[in-house]
This record gives sequence, C-alpha cells and structure tokens, in this order.
Amino acid sequence: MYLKVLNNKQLKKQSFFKITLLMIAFLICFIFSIFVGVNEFSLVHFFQTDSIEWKVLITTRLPRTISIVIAGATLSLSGLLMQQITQNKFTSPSTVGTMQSARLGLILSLLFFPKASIFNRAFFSFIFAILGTFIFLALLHLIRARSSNLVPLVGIMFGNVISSLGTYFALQWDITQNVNAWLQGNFSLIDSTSYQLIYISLFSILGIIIGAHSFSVIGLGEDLTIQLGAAYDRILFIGILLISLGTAVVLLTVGNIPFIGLVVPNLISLYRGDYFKNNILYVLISGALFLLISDILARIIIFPYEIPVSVIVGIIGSVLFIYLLLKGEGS
Amino acid sequence: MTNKKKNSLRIGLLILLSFLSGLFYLFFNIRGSWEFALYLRIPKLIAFFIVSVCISFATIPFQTMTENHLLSPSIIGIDSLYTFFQTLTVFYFGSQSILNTNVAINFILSTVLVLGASLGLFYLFFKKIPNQIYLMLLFGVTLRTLVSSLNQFLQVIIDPNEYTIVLSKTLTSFNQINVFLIGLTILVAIPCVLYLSLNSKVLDVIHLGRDYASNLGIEVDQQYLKFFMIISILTATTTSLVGPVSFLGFLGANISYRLFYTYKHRILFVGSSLVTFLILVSGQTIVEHVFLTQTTLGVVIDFIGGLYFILLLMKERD
Amino acid sequence: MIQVEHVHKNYGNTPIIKDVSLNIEKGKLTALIGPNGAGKTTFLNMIGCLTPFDEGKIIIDGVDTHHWNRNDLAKHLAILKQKNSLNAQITVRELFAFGRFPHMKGKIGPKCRELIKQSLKYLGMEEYEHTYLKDLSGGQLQRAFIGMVLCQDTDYILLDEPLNNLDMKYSVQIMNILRNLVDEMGRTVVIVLHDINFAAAYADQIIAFKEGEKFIDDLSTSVIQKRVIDELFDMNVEVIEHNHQNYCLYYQDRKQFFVHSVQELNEFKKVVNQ
Repeated sequence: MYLKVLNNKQLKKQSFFKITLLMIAFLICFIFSIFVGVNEFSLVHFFQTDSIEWKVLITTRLPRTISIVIAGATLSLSGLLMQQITQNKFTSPSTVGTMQSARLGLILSLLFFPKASIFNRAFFSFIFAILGTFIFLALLHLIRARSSNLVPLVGIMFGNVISSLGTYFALQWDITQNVNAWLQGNFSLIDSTSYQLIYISLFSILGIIIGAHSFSVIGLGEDLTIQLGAAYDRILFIGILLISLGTAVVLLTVGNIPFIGLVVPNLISLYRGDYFKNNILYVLISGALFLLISDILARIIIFPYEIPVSVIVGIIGSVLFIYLLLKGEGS
Repeated sequence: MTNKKKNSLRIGLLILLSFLSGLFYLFFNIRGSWEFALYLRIPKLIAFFIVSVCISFATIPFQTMTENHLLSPSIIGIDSLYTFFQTLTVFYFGSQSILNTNVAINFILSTVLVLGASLGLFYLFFKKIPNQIYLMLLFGVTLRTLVSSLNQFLQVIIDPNEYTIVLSKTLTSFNQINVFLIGLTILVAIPCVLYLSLNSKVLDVIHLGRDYASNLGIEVDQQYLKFFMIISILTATTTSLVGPVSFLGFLGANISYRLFYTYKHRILFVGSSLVTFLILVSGQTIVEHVFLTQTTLGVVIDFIGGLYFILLLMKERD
Repeated sequence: MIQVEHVHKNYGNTPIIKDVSLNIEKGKLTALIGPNGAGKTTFLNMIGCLTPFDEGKIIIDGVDTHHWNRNDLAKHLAILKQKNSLNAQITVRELFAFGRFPHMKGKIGPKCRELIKQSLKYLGMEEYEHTYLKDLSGGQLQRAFIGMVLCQDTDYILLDEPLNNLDMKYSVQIMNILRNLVDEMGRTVVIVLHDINFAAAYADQIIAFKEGEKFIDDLSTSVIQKRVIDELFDMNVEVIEHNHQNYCLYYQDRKQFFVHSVQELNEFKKVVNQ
C-alpha cells in the first residue's frame, strides 16, 4: 500500500473547511431523511409532542435515520480499518467474507435456536464473523503474492463460498424467506424496539477511534510494526473483533449493505492519502452521508414505494468500484 | 505407456462413463409414466451435452489466450451481460413484446448485444490494459454483483408477473429447458465449434505466448479478436439455455488440464466436454434424487467451483 | 539485408527511438549494446515486428515491414524475447516442432522430422529430446529455444538478451552456438547484449544506442575503444587488448557517491546514536 501523507499544517487548514462542509451536507440530509416519507408531515404540528407527527418522528423516522447514520459510519470505518490490516485497498467487511460469515451465523442461529432473541442472534453472528475473518487472514498467509488485486479476489471468492454454504442451509431447511426478511437491507422494517441493537456498533466505532494510533502503525505491515515495538498480534485481534462486532450488528439490524466499506474509504484516501488517523472523521461522516443519500434515493425513486437500500448501494457501489479498479490501472 | 496412449484410454473411459451416466439419469427412479419421464429428461440431457460442449469450447481457448487458468468468459462477466440484456428487454419492451415471446428473435438479439459488449471488454482487457488478470476477475465479479443488484432493482419496479419472466431467465437453472431453443443453439454452436476445432493447432501455438505466436507467423491481434467473438457467441448460447454458469467452464477446463497433462487443444476440447457433461449429469442426478431438488445444481456447482477456485488462486505465482 | 530508415517512436509524448537509420548486413553477427533504457530492446522488437513505430520505414529483404504477411515473415525472420519461460508441459522435441509451424501449419512431414533430428544433434540436445521444458536447466532451456528457432529455418535470428540468468559456462556455450550459426550455416544473428565483453569477443558489428539514438555503428574493434565506451556509458573505463581482441575493464571506475564535507559529516554523526 503506498502511503501518501500530507503536511500537517496544510491538512489542518483544509480539514476545517472540508469537515464543516461535510457536516452541513450531513445535517441537511439528516433532516431531509426525517421528513421524506409516506405520511403527511405538517411543520406546524411538528412540535406538539402528542401529535401524530411527533409519534411518527419518534417511532419510525428518527430511529430509521439514526440507524442509517450509524450503519453507514460503522461499515465505512470498518472498511478503512480492514484496509489497514490487510494492507490492501480493496478489502472491506463485505469483500473478505466477514459479512457472509455473519450471515451464515444468522442462518444457523435461525435453524438451531428458532426462539432466540435478537441479541442472542447478534452474538452468534458476531462469533461467526470473527471466525470467518480469521480464516480469510489465514488464507492470505498462504498466498504467495500480495498482488493488490489478488487479495480482494480471494476475499470475494471466499465470501461467495461462505454465502453459498449459507444459501444451501437456507434452501435445504426452507427458511429462505425468513432469512431474506432479516437481511434485505430495508430500513422500512426498523421500528423503535429492534433498532436499539444498532447502538452496540457505536462501541465498535469508539474502539477503533481509541486505538487509532495503533491501527495506523499496523498499516506498515507486520514486520515493520513488530520492528517498531508494537504488539502486532494483539492489535490485529482487537481490530478484527471490532470490525466483526460492527458488521454483525449492522447486518442484523439493517441488513446486508454491500460495498460501502470498500468504496467510501477508497474515495476518501484518493484525496487525503493513506494515513489512518487523519481519515477517521472523514470516513465516518462520508459513510453516514453516503448511506443517507442512498436511502433518500431509495425512498424517492418510486415514491411512495421503497426500494431496498442494499439494491441502490449495490448499484452505486459496484459502479464506483469498477471506476476505482480501472482508475488504478488506467495509466 | 506414453501419455498419448494414456490419454486415448482416458477419453475412451470418459465416453463410456458419460454414456452410462446418461442412461442412468434417464432411467433411474421413474415414477409413473415412462413416456412422460423421458419427455422431461431427454431434452435436459441434450441440453447438458450442448452446454458442456459450448462451455468447454468457450473456456479453453479463452484461458489459452489470456495465458491463465483462472479466467473464463463466465467469470469475467459475459454471461451476466447476457442476463442483463434479457432483463432490460423485459423491462423496456414488456414481456409480451415479440422480442421476448419469440424465442429465436430473443436469442439472436441478446447474442448480438452481448457480442457488442464483448467487443468493448476485448478492447479494454486485451488492448488498453492487457495482462491484468486479477483486474479482469475483479471486474467480472463486480459486474455480476452490479447486474444482480440491477435485477433486484427491476424486481421492485416492474409488475410481479413480468418479473417471474425475468427471474426465469436470469437464474441458473437446469430444470427449465426450452426445447425450441435447443435446436437454435445447436445451429449456432456448430459452426463455432467447427471453427475452433479446425484451428486447434493455432491455439496450440498461441498457448506458447503472444510473442512466440507472433514469431511463428500468427497475426495475433486479428486472431485473438476472431476467437473472442466466437467465445462470446458460445457463452451466450450456454447462458440462454441454462442461465449464468459461473464456475462450470472453469471446473471442466482445469480438471482436464490435470487429467490429460497436455497442451493439445484437440484432446482438451473433447476431454473437457466429457468431464463437464459428467459433472452436470451426475450433479443433476444427485440433486434430483438425494437433495430432492431443494437445492439447485447451480448452488452446488458454485460452492465446489468456488472452493476449487480459491485453491488454485492460492497456488498462483505472481 | 535489413534497412532501417529514419525510424521514430514515441511513447505517449516521450520519444524513445529518435530518427534512427542503419543497415544490418546479412551473414554477420551484430550486437546491440547501450545503457538501460537506451532503446535497444524496443529497436529489436520493431525490426521483429512485435512493436509498431510511428515514423520511418523498415525494409527486410526488400519488402517494407508493413507489407510483409506475418506468416511469410515468420519463414524469414525469427525473434526470441527475454522471458523464455513457459509453464511447460512441452518436450524439447515438441518445442522444436513448433518451429515448423510457419511452414507446415502443424503437420510434421519427413523433412521436418529430419530437420528436428539434425537440430537436436547440432545443439547437443539429443538426450533431452523427450524431456519436459520445466525439467531443463537454464542453459538447456535456452538451447531448446534456439533449437526451435533453428527449425524455423530463417535467415535472420533476433535475440533479446539471451544470456540473462545464464552462468558463465552456458553464456559462452550459447554465444559459441550463435557464432557457429553465422559461420557454418550462413545465418544472420542480431542480438541485444548487456555485457559488452561478449559483444567484443563474438560480434562482427556493434551498434550502440544512447537515449533512443544511434550512438555508433561500426566494426567491433572500432567500438570497443575507451573514448567510445566512456561517452556511451558515462563512465571511466579501461580498454585492454588481448589476443587481437579489445576488452573492457569497467570494474575499476570507483567514485564517491556524494561528496561530503567534513563539517557535514560531523553534523550527521552528532545526531546519530543519541
């Protein structure tokens, strides 16, 4: 991974301006997101706490928007961290098998523990996500070359294999519809009870921010990290833990959102270089913004019907990914 | 025993096995009317045969030209293009349009569109940024995801009845085979297969590498383009019959390389067709009688193919 | 004869071959030398029609390369590039047989079989006839490829740095074979070489490239001269004569990488080992 680090002073000046811009965009979208919807929304009644509008706001709109924001931020930051750990630009929770492993965990939990609570399921998913990610890392060690396109390829293939395993179980025991209902990536299904789970991924984000310095060092690779005296294995383990936690929780509350962990960090590092610590804030806000906009699109395009966000993100995400791929080779 | 003799024996054995498994598939476990069962099974068997031949003749030259055993036309997304055009025509013109109801027109239109798109891919991956194997693979995989997302998008937008038509064309399924299409695809496939067979020796030379092939008198740019077009047509043929097949060609080709230990395309073509046929027939038999059609053959092939693919990926040297 | 007239090639906006004109005579061993990036390989590939050029003409045996049919050209000219490795389930014999392709399109007649047999003998590869390429050593592999070229039965043989990755013994062996091909079989060999002493010892004619231009084109004795080599490679070499051949001693050119003042050195030393 080639490191492009900008001068600190320059960064700070540009930073302030750009962050402010992003925050404004974010706030606008946030508010817009709350307002877009099927029900009539009258601004006058808005502030009356017992009005319909307020109830709608509290029980569906606000939870929904908050979930989107947290999900987008979590997945993007997880992607950024994954890229640090694997020293590869194109890895992310959905392209190394983490998502798919979490999905497998969910499917198995539906089969073996039909009556479990959402928190139990999340835990099960979480464990599987960790396992899957570590298997992938083990695979990486077995690959002789670290060519930058080979790594995500192995990851995606591995993800596909895990995915078809999951599909097999789902088909064989006929719970496909049930599974899809969980994983559709459709924010309209969120209500104020189940969405509480998403707050857990805040821990993931927090953990990553706290460990930012260590995670930055890890981007130099195993040998250099150890040489600089850092506990590589421990940092790695904690990183994977945090990524898996975030991924599993998002998967269960919001569904499968592909590509966002890959595309957002890459777009940010195109403009800001590869220094992990500097990019965290940007990635968080951009990730949330990206998902907010996608969700708004999902709700507007065939208003009053909704398209699952995962579909919109899938389209935008894959187009952007192809763009990134070709841009890298184009010269 | 020389390798040549061993290979002849192997091919003989494969022919025998294919014949036996074909018979087994046709006659095993028939409940009820014989005629009805055969009426269902014979077209499938024929389709399996066509698919095996077409996909082998498409995959092997492709791997020879790209000098890599991981790639295949399906893997880089050509079959996704085909299903996407199918979806698009249903979306744009409606499922009642003649473009969709008339099998022949639909097939020809989609194939032509795929050829056009393939030209673009050819230009991109053989001229502009050549030798980027993993890039091609990533591109193919992403294209597949994009197409699948677009299909899901259309699912929500269009009429549910229309959508079932789309679904039937875009999923891998060895269960619904259109009999008329079989005749059409044979017609299209025969000249392609013939051309590739007659040029087996040219492919042998190409397998040495572009520069060696040039040195030995082959007009590489022209020849590659011709082969690529034919490969696209053959891929379109396969996809029209059974939907996207992702790893099937890859599996068949790679097993053949290891089984026959030769570069001679004459042998590889025949061997791979037989191996693929065996995979399909035995796979379908197992899926129908053991898994009792809960799982489709496509899922199983994806799984096994994917594992094998990862294995080979890991053995690759950069 | 190969005639090159005012040939020019750009890569993007950068010219990499600038207005080169020269002739390569038949029946001789011509070496192309020069610093890295001077354009030797590109030039060889242009003659071998593997790389296109933007301006000028190249005429081989009286026919412009743009008019040569690829297949016919393959019967007159063979070119081997640097990377001679294959993932090779091919035997030596099969590789030689490939050399017949331009003539026979894959069929092997009695004349071909005879030619293969003779070539195996000529190159001392008879015992390796049925060995797979991947089981050969570097030197044997290179010989095998020359065998293919031999069976291709061409007047011109173009080779791009064939001695790379070969140790002394095999390098000498290959150069001896090439020299024999010129002297005994009347072929024309054009070869890109990194080690100018091999050029000195074996070549009749040496063409040197510098920064995309023809630097010198002369008999090898005239090229291996101190003032020529000094300027070509921007070094300070010594040229000695031995057995009526000139050789270049370039290892002696030792100079400092940077000039440090004592003060600069001391300042640096102060900060280290704190």
